[in-house]
Amino acid sequence: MKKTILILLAVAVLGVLAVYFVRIEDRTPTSSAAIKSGTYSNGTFKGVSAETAYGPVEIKIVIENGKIIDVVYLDMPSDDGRSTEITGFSSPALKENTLKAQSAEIDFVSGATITSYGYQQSLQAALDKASGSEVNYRNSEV
Amino acid sequence: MRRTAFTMGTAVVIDIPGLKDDKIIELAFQQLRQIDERFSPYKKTSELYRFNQGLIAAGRVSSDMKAVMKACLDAEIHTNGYFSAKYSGIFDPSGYVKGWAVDRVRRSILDQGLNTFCISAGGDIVASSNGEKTWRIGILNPLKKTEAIGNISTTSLSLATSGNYERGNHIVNPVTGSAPGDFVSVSIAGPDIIEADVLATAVFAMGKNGLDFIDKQEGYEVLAIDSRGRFYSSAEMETMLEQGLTITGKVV
Repeated sequence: MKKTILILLAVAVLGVLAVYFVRIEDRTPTSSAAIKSGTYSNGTFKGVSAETAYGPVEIKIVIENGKIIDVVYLDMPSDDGRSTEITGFSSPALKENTLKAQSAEIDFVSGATITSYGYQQSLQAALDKASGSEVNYRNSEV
Repeated sequence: MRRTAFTMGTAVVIDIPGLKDDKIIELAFQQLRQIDERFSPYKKTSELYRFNQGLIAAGRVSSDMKAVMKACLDAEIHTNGYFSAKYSGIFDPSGYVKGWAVDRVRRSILDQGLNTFCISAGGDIVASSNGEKTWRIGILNPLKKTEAIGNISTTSLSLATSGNYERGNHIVNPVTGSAPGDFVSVSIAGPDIIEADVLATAVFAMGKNGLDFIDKQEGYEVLAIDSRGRFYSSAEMETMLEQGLTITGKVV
């Protein structure tokens, strides 16, 4: 019998990361040697501690040549057993996601039923736009 | 060439690389609209609606309707009742028809001599390739719908995802009658989109017990995610997923 793998990932924390990355573009780099390159400024950035469903998370991100090359979790929740469990499993996975997401090129995305009503806000719509798809809204139905 | 249209209550995207005119894609959309005209549970003119109203006798339904009725019954038996087209006393095969319709379109495009294409209809994806084109298929993060949580690079694959975060609790556990609670999203990958779709619905309804069930389905792999962000992946699914998800975990 094949083994089923149980993996833990505090996906909710990714939302915090996304917000953080938006913010980082507006921040003054802490490193004086930082230069503007690509999307992000080079340097090491410490994120503010953010409340998540699993407790506060503080993140340090290292950027070289405009690419995120490392993510370090400085303060993960540990005040109760549940949070610790989630932290222990989620940190490496989160880190991997963060590092690889910027090179991801996806053609299609599978999620639970995207209604026509919800399409315009969907990731699939963003992918279609990026690929130059013609979207016929004429037959759109809710 | 990629085109998006809206039918069957969802967004349908068809991508056929290198195609010069959109005739084949428009025909595919037309095919889906015809299926919707027959199987829409809402349109008062649909055969399904009229059948449920008692305006068409069971013995006088179309051959397509008969085929879907039989297939839904087979799926119900195969999944021990966890996939069911019976809903509040009416016949609602919507959970079957979407995958079935996507498979119809797949066959039509193949009949045109084209074997590199990708069809997406509200979570159901069929990717096909002559081998040169690699499709990259993401699985949506059910807890943050603007991002994918993993990618599969493939030349040929069917992938279906069931969940209740987009349309409300549209799947109920037919055994308990209540909304299933273990998972917010269940993705099934395998060779056939109809089967993948049925299995995704069934495993979502089964909850964690469904992981053992899917283990016995030859050729089908699962990725299930719960509301706390934990995910459960079969070993082959873990191999298929290129990024995220696969870094840490424990064997259960």
